[in-house]
Amino acid sequence: MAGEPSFDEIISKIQSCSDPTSIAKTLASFLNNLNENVFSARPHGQIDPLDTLSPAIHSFAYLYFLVYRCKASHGFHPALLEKVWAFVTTCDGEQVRLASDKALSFAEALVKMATESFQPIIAIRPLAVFIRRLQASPGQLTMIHPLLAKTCLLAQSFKDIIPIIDNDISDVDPQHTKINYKDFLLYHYYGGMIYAYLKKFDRAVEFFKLAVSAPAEVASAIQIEAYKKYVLTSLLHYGKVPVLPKYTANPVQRCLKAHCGPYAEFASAYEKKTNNVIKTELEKIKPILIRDKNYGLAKQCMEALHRRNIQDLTRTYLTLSIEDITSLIGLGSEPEGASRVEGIIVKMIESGAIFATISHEHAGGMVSFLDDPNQHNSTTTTDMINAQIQKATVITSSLVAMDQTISSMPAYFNKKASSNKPKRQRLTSGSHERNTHRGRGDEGETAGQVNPEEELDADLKESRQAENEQPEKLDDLSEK
Amino acid sequence: MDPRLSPDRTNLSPNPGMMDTSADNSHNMESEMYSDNIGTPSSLSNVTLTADGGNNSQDNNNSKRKRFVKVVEVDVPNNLDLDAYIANYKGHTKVNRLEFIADRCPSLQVDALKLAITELRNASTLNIPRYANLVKKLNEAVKFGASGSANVSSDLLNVDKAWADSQLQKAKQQTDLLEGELKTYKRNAIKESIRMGNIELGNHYYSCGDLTSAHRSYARTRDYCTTPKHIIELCMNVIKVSIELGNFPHVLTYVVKAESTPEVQQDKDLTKAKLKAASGLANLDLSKYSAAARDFLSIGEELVGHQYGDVISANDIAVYGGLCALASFNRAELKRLVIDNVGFRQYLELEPHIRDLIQGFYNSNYTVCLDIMEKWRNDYLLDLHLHSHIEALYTNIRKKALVQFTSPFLTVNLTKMAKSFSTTVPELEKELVSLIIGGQIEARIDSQQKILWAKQTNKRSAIFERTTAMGQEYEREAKGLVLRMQLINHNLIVKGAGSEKGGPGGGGDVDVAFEHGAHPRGGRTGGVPGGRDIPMFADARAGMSNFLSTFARDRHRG
Repeated sequence: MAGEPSFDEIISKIQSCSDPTSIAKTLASFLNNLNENVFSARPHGQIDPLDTLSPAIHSFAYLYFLVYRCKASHGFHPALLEKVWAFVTTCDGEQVRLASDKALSFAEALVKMATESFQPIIAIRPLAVFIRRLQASPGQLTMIHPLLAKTCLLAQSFKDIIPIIDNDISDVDPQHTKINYKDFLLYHYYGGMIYAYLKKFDRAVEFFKLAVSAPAEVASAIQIEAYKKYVLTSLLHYGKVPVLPKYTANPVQRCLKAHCGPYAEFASAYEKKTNNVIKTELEKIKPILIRDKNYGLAKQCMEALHRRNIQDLTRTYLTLSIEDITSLIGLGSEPEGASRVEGIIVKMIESGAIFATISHEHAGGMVSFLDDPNQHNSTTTTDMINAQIQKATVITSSLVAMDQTISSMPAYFNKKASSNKPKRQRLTSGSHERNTHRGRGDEGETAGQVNPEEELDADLKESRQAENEQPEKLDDLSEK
Repeated sequence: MDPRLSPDRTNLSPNPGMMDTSADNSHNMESEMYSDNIGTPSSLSNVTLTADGGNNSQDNNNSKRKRFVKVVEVDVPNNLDLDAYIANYKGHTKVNRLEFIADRCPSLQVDALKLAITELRNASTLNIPRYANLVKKLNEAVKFGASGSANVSSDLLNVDKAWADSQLQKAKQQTDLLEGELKTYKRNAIKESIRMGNIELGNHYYSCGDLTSAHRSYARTRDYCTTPKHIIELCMNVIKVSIELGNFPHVLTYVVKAESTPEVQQDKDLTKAKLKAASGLANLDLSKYSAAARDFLSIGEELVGHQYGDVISANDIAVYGGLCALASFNRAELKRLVIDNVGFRQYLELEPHIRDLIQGFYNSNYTVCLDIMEKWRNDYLLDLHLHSHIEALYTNIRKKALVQFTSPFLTVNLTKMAKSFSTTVPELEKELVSLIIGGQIEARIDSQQKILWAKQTNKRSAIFERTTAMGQEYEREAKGLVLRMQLINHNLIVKGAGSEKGGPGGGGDVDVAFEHGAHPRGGRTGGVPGGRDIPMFADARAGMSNFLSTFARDRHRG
């Protein structure tokens, strides 16, 4: 190209291409070859290109201009923000996806702008909307995801990100979104932290688990940090650390053993449920926790322990004085233990974790534990079960579809054929084994297909049977 | 100094020449033995080895019976009549039991040792080290003024040197003679003679107290057994020695071997009964109380007259069988296998309190049961085989009693219950809590009014909750798997800094590029071509098929 094209030429060129194919073919290389000044300069006397171009029709080029405008801007300008907002709400996702690197630098510039004006919260909503635009499907992971999650954490504002992280990631497509493994790990790490902040610990555990069990050839520091938080959040939520999925990469597992020893010790102490043991263990690893910035979670674990112990008591007692509860859960030696316990119980009753009443008729107070009033005989239960059956069916059918796709791949057949060669059987007994698995897998396919509905139906039937059985059981008891 | 408790557990191989020398001076021998116990093997003379041979086999014996860590000293047994008790036994176990009692019960120490020494003298034992050891113990007991030490005659206090020498001489001659004979037999290669020779040698070693050698000799006869009768003989011999050695797993193998041998007409039932008794003992030692109880209960009437007195007395069968049965059987089994068992009733007649205990338990008369158990506790702690299991058995019986007590009621008054279990309410509450947590009692405690309420579980709700949890688990696992497949498909794999550039090797174990800075995505074009993802596909697929099938299977099972 001879010399710099003039501004008007550029604009007309942009305006001439508005369908994705021509953008990808001509406009992308054309714009990439232009000097940065073209985008950032704001020539006098001319109209602002951002006003000339429509963010909806010329999203691709609009993004180019916007990126450099945002980069050049220091701090926060209402006018620019208006442009940004107009862009993210109206832009054409397909065009933007063609310039995913520019999309990322746009997002980064936006965050930078917001941080520089000490209001990181500004960037959140535009980014959240932008992600929606950028995603090809609701479960797709984009490069913006980890950035948004991090920004939300910094701003401690989660209202806008919740709908996004509540949607499980089901689609990763590096070819189109240019993500890499770090995006995946970081997104789940930050996501887990967000859920932990919101005290939705089951989701947090899931997110950390996804990060830790991601396929790996070497362990990533993100995975190790995620594992530490995984341990603490699962203690909080389940009272124990569930085993990691079998497919967790070996190097990661080795590395976790080497780097997370104190956490494992804390977990094994915690699983014994005795207050004092855990306390000493906690004191022991306190510096490590503080260094890892996990001390807050660990302290919450202690609170959760009391809750868990109280919940255990509901299984063994009908009534129990607060004093007894205090000593039974190991707070007897602490000052104000009883009033603390009462507070915990009140909170638990409020949150529905236990069903109980406290009576102060006697000195010190008496707690009566009641049964779960939910008899599972309402339409809510049916709806819930139906919804679950549906979900399970969807997942299973997608699993089966994947299974079929893979089993019809030439690569898979080659692999299977080579592992069937008798000469190699002895040497590669592992792959032979795999082959037998496959044999079973074929049965598994059919079983899998009907599995969830049938299973749940069977369970329902069982429960109905149990229902029928129950009057008899009661008769038995009364006879005795 | 109790050799049983000596820390020296080294397993010296038996010295072939152990009977070659005579103990010239018993005092010398004692001191040498002492030194051996604190572990100075280098200074061992031939004489000490003699002493050691006998001693060591006992040491060995005890090291195998592990639960010796805590020695319970029993002050006064409540019901034990030592003379009557020990009269039921014969052979080695008599002396073993006496020595055991002497070690644990100071008030009976002198009497037990006296009886043991007399027994050894009367049986003209060849196990002189043991004799010397017992005399030494008696001397110590008298020195510390144990009760009953006033009327110990002096001939028991001193080692009868002449007799001991002659016995040692005899033992040595006998060993030489038998070994010589065995050699001749072997040269002549007559199977039956070799077998007999080995058995005789084994018997001789056994009476000398060298159990390991005896075991070896008996075991050697295996190759020369020609008839089922021989095999039974071999098994019985090995069982006898193994029980004394405390090698109970070995006992079980030989019991099985003997039981699988074709029937021998002559005293078939007696052999069977003995085998049952032996396997009962072995199971008891291995803490398999249910199996032990079944063994003891199926002995039949054959051993009522202490026919197996060199191992177990009829009274023991009643006690062991009764306690094990109470600790492990449910009510129906108790009725069917114990109370209605005609053969076992004869044994129970010998130990009426065990009969009362079982009846009391069956009739839910727990106060009586616990009284009887407490009353006899000390006696059982002095039993050679039972002592280390008494705690476990008693706890089990108590737990079962608690469970049985609560099972028929919808509500139970804890105060009344505590009375019938002769305990306090808080203690009872603790026991009940542990049982409730363990899932053995389905009930909840009203600690305000001290009432135990049977729990009414709502099965329907439980199944709903389980279903929901299962569904969520399935969803979660499946989603994780699909996502993982995609990651692998798209080669989104955590790699070291080195391997990302193409070559493996570079990069540490941990990728420390943690801060989310600029995205290094120059020229990454997704799906890497080439063979490396092919195995991954296969892996993933195998994983997925596996998942589907195991999930289906687990659900059906669960």
